[in-house]
Amino acid sequence: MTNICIDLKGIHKQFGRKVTALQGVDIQVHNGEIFGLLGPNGAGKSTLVKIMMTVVRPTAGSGTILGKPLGDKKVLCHIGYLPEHHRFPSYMTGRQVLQFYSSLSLAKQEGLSERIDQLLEMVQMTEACDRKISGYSKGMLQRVGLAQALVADPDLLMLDEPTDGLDPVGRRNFRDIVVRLKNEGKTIIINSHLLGELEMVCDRVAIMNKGIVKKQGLISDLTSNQSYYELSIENPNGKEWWKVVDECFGKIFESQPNATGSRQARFKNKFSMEIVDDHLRLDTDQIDNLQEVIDELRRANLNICEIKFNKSSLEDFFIDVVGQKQGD
Amino acid sequence: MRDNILIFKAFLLDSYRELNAKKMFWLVLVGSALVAMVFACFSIEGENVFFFSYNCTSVLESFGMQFTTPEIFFKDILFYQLGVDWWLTFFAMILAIVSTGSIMPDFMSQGSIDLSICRPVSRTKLFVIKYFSGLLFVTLQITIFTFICFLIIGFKADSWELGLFSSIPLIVCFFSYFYCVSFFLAVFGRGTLACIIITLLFWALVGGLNVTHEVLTFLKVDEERAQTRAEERGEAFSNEDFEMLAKTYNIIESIRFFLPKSSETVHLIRRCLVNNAELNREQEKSKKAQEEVWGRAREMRDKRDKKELSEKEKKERDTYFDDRLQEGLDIVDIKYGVEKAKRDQSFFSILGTSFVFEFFILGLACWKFNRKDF
Repeated sequence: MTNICIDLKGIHKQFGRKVTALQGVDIQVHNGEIFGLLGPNGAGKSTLVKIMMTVVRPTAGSGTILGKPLGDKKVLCHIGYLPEHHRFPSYMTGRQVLQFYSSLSLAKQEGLSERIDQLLEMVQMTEACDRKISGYSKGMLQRVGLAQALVADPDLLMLDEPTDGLDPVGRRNFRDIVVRLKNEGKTIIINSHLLGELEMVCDRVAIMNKGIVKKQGLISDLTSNQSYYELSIENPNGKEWWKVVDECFGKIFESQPNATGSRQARFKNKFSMEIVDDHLRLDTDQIDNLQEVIDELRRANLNICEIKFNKSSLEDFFIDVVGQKQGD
Repeated sequence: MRDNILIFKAFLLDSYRELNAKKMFWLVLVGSALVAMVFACFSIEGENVFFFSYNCTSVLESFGMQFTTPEIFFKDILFYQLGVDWWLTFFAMILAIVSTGSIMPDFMSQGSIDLSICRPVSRTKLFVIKYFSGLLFVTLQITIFTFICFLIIGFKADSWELGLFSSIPLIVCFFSYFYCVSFFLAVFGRGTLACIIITLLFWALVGGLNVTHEVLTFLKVDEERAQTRAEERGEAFSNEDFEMLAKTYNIIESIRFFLPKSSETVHLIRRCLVNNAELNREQEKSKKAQEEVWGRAREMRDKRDKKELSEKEKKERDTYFDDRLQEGLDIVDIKYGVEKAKRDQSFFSILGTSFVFEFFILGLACWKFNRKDF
């Protein structure tokens, strides 16, 4: 059995003649993972989710969801969806909302009442579940929204801005729920602006901008390229330390500093190095590489005063990808 | 099938909850109960009608309301002419259009529609079920009103008239002709207010055409009678007015062909309640009433004229009363002639052409609903 839960190829969406929301999106989501969809406003994230949920029809492209072709209505039995800015009928109570949408999802009616009770307890809405929706706060609506997405016990969950309106405790509770669902074997797609939240729970992410997927992969892979070690070096013999370093590595650095005032080189074709002010920056997150450089520096009798490891966050990576591209 | 029932039940319950939350629903229900209670206050003794202890026979007769039996009084005059024609298809209809005007715009609003469309149910099915569950408002109102009237007529006139229940499907049909327009507008992105106003305007347009058609039919029958009479007497008859009338009548008839036959649909209820024999008896009674009225008028004139009249004066007076009586009888004949002309139309042509209109409007709306990106 294939491990691919969602496989979309070349998804285009054109609204009218002027607005192009998606320009050939390719995305793969694996079974049992938490997948984050990131991107600035207007990147096309919500449109992509809506296409998967048949709310919006793609202009072109194809793909499969849970092994069924994109647009297949029957597969939606196995998908739970929490739309952004959802609006429940104000005359219903929280419990009635779950009952109503469970019927629309063709959920099994046997044991439904118990399941609804469990879900309400899980999202901490047991006390307020028999009150009218019109009296709910935004956070409470979000909790009920999450419960309605889970009411048919789906295999795949699509959550569009799920923590919108939740307080810090609610967000933490949400993260716990998501991790719990993942452990139960469910696949979860989260569309959010809150990068910190996603970084804590997502296995893989896709960064979208202007209707295109710019980067896609494991968070650890994406952010590792941005991590680096920074070494503060001192030469006890008085000579400029960078010249000693250059000699020690076999004169590999550029003789003249570049426009930003730094000198760059590659270390044994493994990673890049950069001399910036009084620091040596190693563009690697591998400890072995660091050890190798330290050995070389000590052999040249240079003093290493400080070593700092700068781990790149998802936010740094996101800004790097989106900010740079937006400036194009 | 099990899935369809499950979804329909969910939407029906949802519609009930939605109506339950609307004050207008309860307002109309209280109105219906009040109207039915007023009906219960009428009673019949001999040929006289009493409202509590007040004899209102002459008041009813002055409005041209003739009845031959207590049963006809309750089912035709009270239930059909007042209950259905005035309350259910006029006042309650306005309230129903206003109440249900927000159902589809709310359902189609951003954030709400996503939650329904993302389910394993086809859009067409969702559209159809939502439409039919929206008709619950009038169905409940009419059923309750009709059932109360059924009990009142049963106990008061000792007639358990099952034909009364024909009003339930027929008034639901009547309402659906306008509800489909509201639905259509909502699917094409119009808000609640626009849906209500445009639907009311459409209702007024159809109603206006119905009234014009009724008046023209009346005039046409009158002209035809005058023409026949002139031919019998061997007198010349000017065709000019008649041709103009016939032309206007045909234009209105052509426009109405494409529109729902709302007044005819409601009139079908009367066809179920009053049969042709009862109608003929009613017509005879109306004629007798005319003869009595003008006979009494002649007697009163005789008593008032103290001086002896000449032969010429007597003849002039008799001619005057004879002409007035003939006019009265003509009006009765024309009124019942129009009624019989309506009865000549088949159920199929009335409901069939109306459903064609409704299916066309709903078909367009459903097509748009299926293609729309939300």
